[in-house]
Amino acid sequence: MQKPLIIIVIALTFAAGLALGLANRPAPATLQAATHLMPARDIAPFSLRTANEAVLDNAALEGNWTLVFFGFTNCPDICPTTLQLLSDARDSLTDAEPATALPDILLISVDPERDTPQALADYAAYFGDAVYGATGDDAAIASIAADLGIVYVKVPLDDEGAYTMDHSGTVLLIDPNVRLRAVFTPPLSAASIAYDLGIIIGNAT
Amino acid sequence: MNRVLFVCIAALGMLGLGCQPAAQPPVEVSNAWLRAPAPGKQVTAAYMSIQNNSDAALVIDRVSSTQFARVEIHATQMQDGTMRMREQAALTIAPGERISLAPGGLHLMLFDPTDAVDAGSTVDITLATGSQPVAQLTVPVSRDNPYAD
Repeated sequence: MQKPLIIIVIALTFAAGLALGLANRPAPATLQAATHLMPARDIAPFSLRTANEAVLDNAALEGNWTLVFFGFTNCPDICPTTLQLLSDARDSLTDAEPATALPDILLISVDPERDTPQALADYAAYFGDAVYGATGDDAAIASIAADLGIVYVKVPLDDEGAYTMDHSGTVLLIDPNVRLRAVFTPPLSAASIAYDLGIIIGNAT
Repeated sequence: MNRVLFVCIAALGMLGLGCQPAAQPPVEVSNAWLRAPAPGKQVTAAYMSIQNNSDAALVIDRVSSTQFARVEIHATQMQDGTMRMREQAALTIAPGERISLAPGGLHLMLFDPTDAVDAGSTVDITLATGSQPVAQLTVPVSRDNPYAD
C-alpha cells in the first residue's frame, strides 16, 4: 500500500527537479545519506540473545523501526561514536515524529567471546533508553551478518591473546515489517541520518 | 571560551616562564577531550588537535597518563566499508602543520583506568618524543565531543 506512494513521491520529486533545472539544489525529499531499498528486502530468519537471555528474532522486531549497527564493546572509537551519533539522530526526531515511530537502536556484537548479553546490555543502555544489544553464538552472528551484508574478522594483536575486530561501519534500517529498508554507509552524520529517517519514516506512516 | 585548553612546553618550563601564548609555543594542543568509558569498560579514546609551530618535524611516539595503565596511538581506517583499528608507531607532524585526532580516525587509545573516569572530571595526558615530554595536558572527560557546534 505504501510502496506506490513512495515511488510516486520520488518520481514527482525527480520530475520537479528536472523541470526546474536545479541540478545543484537537492529537492526537499531527496535523501542525504541513505541508500533506500525499494522494495524493502526480506531478512532471513535469525535468532540472537539480548539481556537476560531473551530471544531476539525476526518477530521481536515487528512493529518497530530499528537501526542496526554491528560492533563490539571493547572498541574505543568507532563503536561509541556511532552509537552516540545514532542516539543523537533519534533524539533530534522526537519533536517531528510520534514516539512509536522513532527507531530503536540495536547493537549486534561481533565479539561474543568478550561481550556477554548482560555486559552488552549495560554498555548499550549507556547510549540511551532506546539502545539495546544482542549477541549469539558464532553461527548465529555470522548468519545475520552475511544476510545483511556485514563483514567482520577477528584480528590478533599480540602473542598473548589480545585482539581487535574489524567490522563494517554500515548502519541498517529495518522497518516495522522486519524488512531491510535502508542502508547508511560511513562516514555517518547524525544530521543526515535524522533527515533521511524523517523522510523514510514520514513517508511510511 | 579559550579552546586552547592547555599547552605547556618543557623548554619554556625550564625557563620558569610556564605558558606564554605570545611566545607561540612550539607545540600547541587544542580541543582535547577524552570519551568517558562506558560502564564496565576498560578502554576509551582521546581526541585533540596538535599544531607544530617549530621548524622541525615533531614526532610523538610515546603517550602516557597517570590515570591509565597504558596509552597507544591508534588509527581507525575505513577500507571497503570496513572499519579497521590499528596501532601506529608515532604521530609525525611536519613543521607548521596541524593534525587532528578525531572520532573515526587517529586517536589515542587508553587502557585500564586506575580509578573511575567520569564525565566532568579531567585526566592528565603526556605527549612525548622518546623520554622527552613535548606537551602535558589536562583533558576534560566528556560523554561526547564538547567542542561540537
